[in-house]
Amino acid sequence: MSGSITQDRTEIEQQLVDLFVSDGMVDRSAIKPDATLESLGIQSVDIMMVLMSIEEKFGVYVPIDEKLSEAKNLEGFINQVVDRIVAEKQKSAS
Amino acid sequence: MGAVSGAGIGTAALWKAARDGQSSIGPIELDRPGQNTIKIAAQVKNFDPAAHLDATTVAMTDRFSQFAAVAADEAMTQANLPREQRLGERAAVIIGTGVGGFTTLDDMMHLYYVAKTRMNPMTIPRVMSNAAACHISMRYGCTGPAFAVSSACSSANQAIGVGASLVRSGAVDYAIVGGSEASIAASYIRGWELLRVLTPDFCRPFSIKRSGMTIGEGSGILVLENAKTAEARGAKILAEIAGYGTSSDARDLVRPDPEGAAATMRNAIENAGLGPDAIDYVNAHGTGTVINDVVETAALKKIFGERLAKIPVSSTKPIHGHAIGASAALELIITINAMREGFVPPTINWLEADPKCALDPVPNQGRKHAIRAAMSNSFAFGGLNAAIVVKQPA
Repeated sequence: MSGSITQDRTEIEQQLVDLFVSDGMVDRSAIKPDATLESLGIQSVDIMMVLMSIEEKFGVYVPIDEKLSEAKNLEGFINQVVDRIVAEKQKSAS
Repeated sequence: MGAVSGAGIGTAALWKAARDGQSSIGPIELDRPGQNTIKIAAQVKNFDPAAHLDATTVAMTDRFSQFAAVAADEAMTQANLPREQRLGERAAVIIGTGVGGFTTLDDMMHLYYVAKTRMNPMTIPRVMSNAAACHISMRYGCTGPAFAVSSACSSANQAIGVGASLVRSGAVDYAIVGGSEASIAASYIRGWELLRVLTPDFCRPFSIKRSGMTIGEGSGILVLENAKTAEARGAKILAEIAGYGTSSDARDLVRPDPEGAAATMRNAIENAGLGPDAIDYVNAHGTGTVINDVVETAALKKIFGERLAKIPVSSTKPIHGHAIGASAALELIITINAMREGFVPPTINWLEADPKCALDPVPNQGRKHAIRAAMSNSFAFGGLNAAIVVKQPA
């Protein structure tokens, strides 16, 4: 079971990176896990666009809460979102 | 003062809810539901306009004007200014609103584009943002300046501040001021969802684990009057609007700036002829979004310094929701009641202190606290800030 979640996570992470490229208008070549949102030129409006696409794609509402706003870089942000998508998947599966 | 809010009709219901920490937030009920992720709001439930207003007025008005008229009736009755008196050109009406008759607009767009049937011929007069101000001016025969202020969440504080300035300058003797909002439609909630500032569960300002605000609706109306005429006619004076401050961040449409918020508070306190030491309570903007509460705390710290720890600063938004253009009016009514009773309302749903919000939010339980003067804050999208300082009447 844990194997499939790990597989899920990697897959979801990749899909989120794709969303940052398509909806956050981030240059794919600039994407590195430790890149800060600032260094990628991601502004609040881009975050909103990405979160809207996440909701459409995964059916998960992600508010800008304490944890999300503390994400320092792309990896932190994506981890936060993946946690929620996985949690939501598990909730609906149980 | 008069109010319509999620707590019910009347300032007594609003104050009781605020004082006792009773939230009016619950499941959203809509005639035309959407696919909203957020399913909670502080709605005015079971509001029957026909129980308060004549049939012609009901037919001519959106819900936001109806709320305003009902709240104005309560305020004018309390001020002992009956409709028959007709206040004339020495009376102004200034009512704030975020989006005016949004529910009518939403209904009519649906009729036109989706149902492809006829729209209500009164669509425009119902939707226009100045409708609430116009209906109150007609209701009480106020032939002086009447207009709407539309500054998102700061609308009502700006309306109150401008009204107070007109009275203070001698331009008018009376100003009926406040704010009204009735925009809870699925599309409106969706708009807020897309900004990611709505919490799916609990609005918990200044607390750790906060995840956003909850939309509300309602109206708060106050009657401002020149002290001399009020005393001459033996009116009961509830409070003095002592100071008004407003500023624009001129930076970012949705990201608040502590400098702008602090400038507004400083202006309001100076305008009241007071120093920060005279302020004994702050009703915060306190939306419960991560960023507002951090920025507001930083701004308060700039004004009050070390004394901030000793000043109760509560947000009553988890009680009545964020009623956008009406919010500051509802909150000023609560602030005035707090001052009159010497009791500060709590910030409910609070879990634990957030080190980035180092202040006393009056967690979960209200308490007795003597107030000489108090300040009510509002900070709007667009970077528009407004604060009102009230003090005990002389």
